[in-house]
Amino acid sequence: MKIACVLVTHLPLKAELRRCPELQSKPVVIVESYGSKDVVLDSSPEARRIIAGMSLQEAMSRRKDAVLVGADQPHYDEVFDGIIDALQGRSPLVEKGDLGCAYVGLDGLEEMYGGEPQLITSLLQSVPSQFNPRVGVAMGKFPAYVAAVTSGGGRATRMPEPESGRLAKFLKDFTVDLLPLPWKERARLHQFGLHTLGQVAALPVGAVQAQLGPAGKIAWELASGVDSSPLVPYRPEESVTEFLTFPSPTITQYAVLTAIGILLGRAFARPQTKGKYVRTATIESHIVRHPPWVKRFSFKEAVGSRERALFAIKSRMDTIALPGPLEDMTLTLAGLTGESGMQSSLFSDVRKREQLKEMMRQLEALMGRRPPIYQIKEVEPWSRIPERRQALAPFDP
Amino acid sequence: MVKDPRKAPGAGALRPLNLPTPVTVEEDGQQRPVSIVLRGSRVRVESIDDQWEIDEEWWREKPIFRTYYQVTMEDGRSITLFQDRLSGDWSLQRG
Repeated sequence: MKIACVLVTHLPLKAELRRCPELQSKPVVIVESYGSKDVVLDSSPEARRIIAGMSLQEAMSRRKDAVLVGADQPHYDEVFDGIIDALQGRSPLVEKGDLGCAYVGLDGLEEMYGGEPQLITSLLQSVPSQFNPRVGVAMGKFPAYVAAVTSGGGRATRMPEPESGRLAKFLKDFTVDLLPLPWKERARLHQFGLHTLGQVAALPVGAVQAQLGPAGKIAWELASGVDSSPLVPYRPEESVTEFLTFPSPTITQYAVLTAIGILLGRAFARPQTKGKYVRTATIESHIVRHPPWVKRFSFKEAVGSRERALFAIKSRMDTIALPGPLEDMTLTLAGLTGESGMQSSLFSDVRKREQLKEMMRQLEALMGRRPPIYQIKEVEPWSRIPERRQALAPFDP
Repeated sequence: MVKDPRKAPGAGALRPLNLPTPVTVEEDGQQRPVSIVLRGSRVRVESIDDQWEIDEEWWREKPIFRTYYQVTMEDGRSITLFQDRLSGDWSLQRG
């Protein structure tokens, strides 16, 4: 299948520049928080020597004048969803890849657009020009991605057919870091001295598979220009969204729960949710001088009323610490369904026992001895002496 | 019957549940509880709701001979305690 990879590099930075044009030509650094650690998510070309993944401390030591911007992941997702929507207007087969990367099925569309060049132009034009998209066309997702990476902004590159043998030649000098493998697997390839796709493809497939398992086979095939993974079209999820702004930034649990109650009431009053049940609720809030706060609640059973949804959220909110005063709140109900109830497994008891056994094994490995977990056993339930009736026995699922 | 393994309970052994907890009790002339020291403060017994005895294992070295009382305290709590008839000591224990 002929596939186009539409790639927007540095999407977080471009989204921020579009939102705040005054940041243009400044050394902008977008910072993401992982618990207590701040890490660079993206940076502008002006912030030289700062790269994604670098700790904020190191970045600041390199550029003291850097303009720090807190990562707004919901905004980047929203921008990317807009791009996906636009691409879906050009082709019915659009797969959502990592942030900024989409795959579009081209088969059968060329005649409609009057040829491949017109079709590619249309794809490039579907993305707002500020995002400077690049396109790669090939007979598989990975070669299309590599082609897009090699393209200039606003341009497209076409890969040779795999059968011609020219595709493997084209790929051979590219780094193995382009392979869609976990970081650990790519690091292992480097440890073995395999830095380019050509070096991986030159080995027998068995040798790579013996070292990396199934990931090795995938790596070898992709390095050889073979990508048979199917295009999985993105199906937008039906959802209902409600929004409110707090009169003043608030952090009290009572005010937050009141706001959630109001939004749930509005959302369940909408015609889309009438007679339906929802499976998830997502709450997003902007926080004073802090990245946005996002919390997703998955309900055990689909809920069909404001009261039941609020009850489920309330019990979870008791254990959640808000990172700061909330300025506003957006509630999104998703997973709309006509069914309620919880799917139960035919073998739930067996599975539960297996899970308990696995848990005990893990604890034993972690502690280096039998974990002190007990269960209450009836010993002499008929005894008149109370302490003889039950005992704590080592837990053995 | 639970055999005494004669060793300290460990992670692999059975651990007894509901063991008696020693308690200080003020008795009346008939050796019935009048007040109990709970968490450092003396609480008066409002009423004795039930009373029973167990006399077991008389053939062992340490026989079990207890008088149990189910009492209601002045603060409304319901408590079960017993007096060891051999040593005279009082203990709390769920009946």
